[in-house]
Amino acid sequence: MKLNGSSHSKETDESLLEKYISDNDLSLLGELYARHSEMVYYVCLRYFKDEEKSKDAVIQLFEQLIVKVKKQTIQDFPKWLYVVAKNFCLMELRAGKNNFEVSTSEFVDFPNNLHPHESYAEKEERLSQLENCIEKLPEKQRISIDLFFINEKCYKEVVEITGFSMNDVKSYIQNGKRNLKNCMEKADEQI
Amino acid sequence: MSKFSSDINYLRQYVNGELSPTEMYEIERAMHDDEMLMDIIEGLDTEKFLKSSPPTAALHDQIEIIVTKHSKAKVFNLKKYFVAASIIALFTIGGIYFIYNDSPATRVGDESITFEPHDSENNSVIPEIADSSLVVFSGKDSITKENTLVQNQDKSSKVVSTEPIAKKKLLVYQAKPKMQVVIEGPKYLNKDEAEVIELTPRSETKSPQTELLTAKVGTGTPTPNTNIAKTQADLQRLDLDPQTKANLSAVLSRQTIENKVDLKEKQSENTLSEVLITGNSLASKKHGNARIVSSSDGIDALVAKPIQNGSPSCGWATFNVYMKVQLNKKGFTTYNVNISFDLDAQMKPTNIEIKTSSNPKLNAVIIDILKNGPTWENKDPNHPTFIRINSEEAQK
Repeated sequence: MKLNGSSHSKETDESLLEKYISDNDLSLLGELYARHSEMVYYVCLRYFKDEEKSKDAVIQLFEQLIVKVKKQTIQDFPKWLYVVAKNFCLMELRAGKNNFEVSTSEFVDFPNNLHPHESYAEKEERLSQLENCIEKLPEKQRISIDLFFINEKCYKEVVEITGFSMNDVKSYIQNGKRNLKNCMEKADEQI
Repeated sequence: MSKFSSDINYLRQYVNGELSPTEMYEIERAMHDDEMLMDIIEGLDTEKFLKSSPPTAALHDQIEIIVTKHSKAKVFNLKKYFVAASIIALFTIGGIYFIYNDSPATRVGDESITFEPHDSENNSVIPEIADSSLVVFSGKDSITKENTLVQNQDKSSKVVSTEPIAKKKLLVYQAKPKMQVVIEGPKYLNKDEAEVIELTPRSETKSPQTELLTAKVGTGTPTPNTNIAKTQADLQRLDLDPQTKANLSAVLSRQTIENKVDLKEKQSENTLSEVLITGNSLASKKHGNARIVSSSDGIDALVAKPIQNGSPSCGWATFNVYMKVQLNKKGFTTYNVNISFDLDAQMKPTNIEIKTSSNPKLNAVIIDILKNGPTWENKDPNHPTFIRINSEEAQK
């Protein structure tokens, strides 16, 4: 089996997955997994912060997939693989001795309809609520949110404009976003 | 999933700050809607922080190893199944072969034995055997059993000897251990024909042993005592089962006893220089070799001789004179009569039967003469007395 440049390189993920399930040819699954192995590795590296552990996790995940892909209905293989990889890493961190705290909220589910159909009036109402919530944010968070989401400045530009550090900008944007979400949920409850 | 998630190199460019602000913003904006993209970029940031090299090639190699390992394991399983199936097949074939070899047709003890003819004159007839228990002798006298020939007999079941066999040499045969060899004859042949091993060759020339074994007991010429003794000795050398030997010995012993009786009778009768008859049946005298010897006591017209058991109390000479006188009185000068009779309490003839007679008118006369004649002595009261009264023999 040659994963790179093999005869299956032009086939879609869905095609390879179907063939593997029907033919039970592991090279097909290897081909498919190799396409997304980097993604899995970097997701694991993001949580483990360890190169070798992340590599081991990639191999362990592949051995799990040999059986797992036949037991589940997979519509979007990369997204499904990401969820499986992230949950694997979180489970490993929870089972580890380093008492790494992982909140259950970090475990991801397959998203349902994140963008339900909204009417124009409902959108207008939510935008006015969002403006009210932005006004209520702390200043650094509000400035960073305004530059990034409204003025469409990248992190690097925000850093250059505000003089905040990159990590601060990322943190302000991330925290401001969460506060806006909480504010919007409170507004929805009041309605 | 955003379009950037699968393009790690592009994301790596983003992490390295190699993209324009607009391109960077696209990725950063996508990160807020795509959690996976955010995790990948954070992973790339970690990689950059750890200053590690991209693991792509190493990951692909490890995946390839796993795929190969699983494939080999699968092939190994198939190999195991193949080996197991081969072993089962071998055992099955071996079992069938064993069962086949254990069948009666191929059992070692039942192997047919064929001897090549010594004489080339009859080589055209090659004995072939169908019955595994059948023994075929061949020499000058090739023996074939036409009804039991099988053309395609397995050659492995035959033992072919190229060594010449002497004509009179006793040939070895093998029989089923439990099968009795029965001598063909009216007295002892009381077995199913299927169990009889017929040793009688079709050829007229017979070896001494086959003559012995096929002699009809009591119906043919008795086997000489010397031959019987020799045959008994040969019988002990035969590779026969004990039951068969016992049967054959019993037959030979019985024949020996009968011959002794015959000889004894012959001796006793020779003292009288009289007629000698073997057996106790008149019918056998017609076809047998019984001889009637003329009397030497000078009686011309009549000779009355005992065949068995009895004799007149007054002696044969007086009795013959009496019979001649009495018959001449009745007008009979030529006669040939065979008579049997028992003796009553007064030792007078009773139950007189005329077995054969040259003149029917003579029968009643002779019966009357015998009843009024002398008394008799009987050596064996359980058997009747036989006599012959013959005028022709007397005149020779």
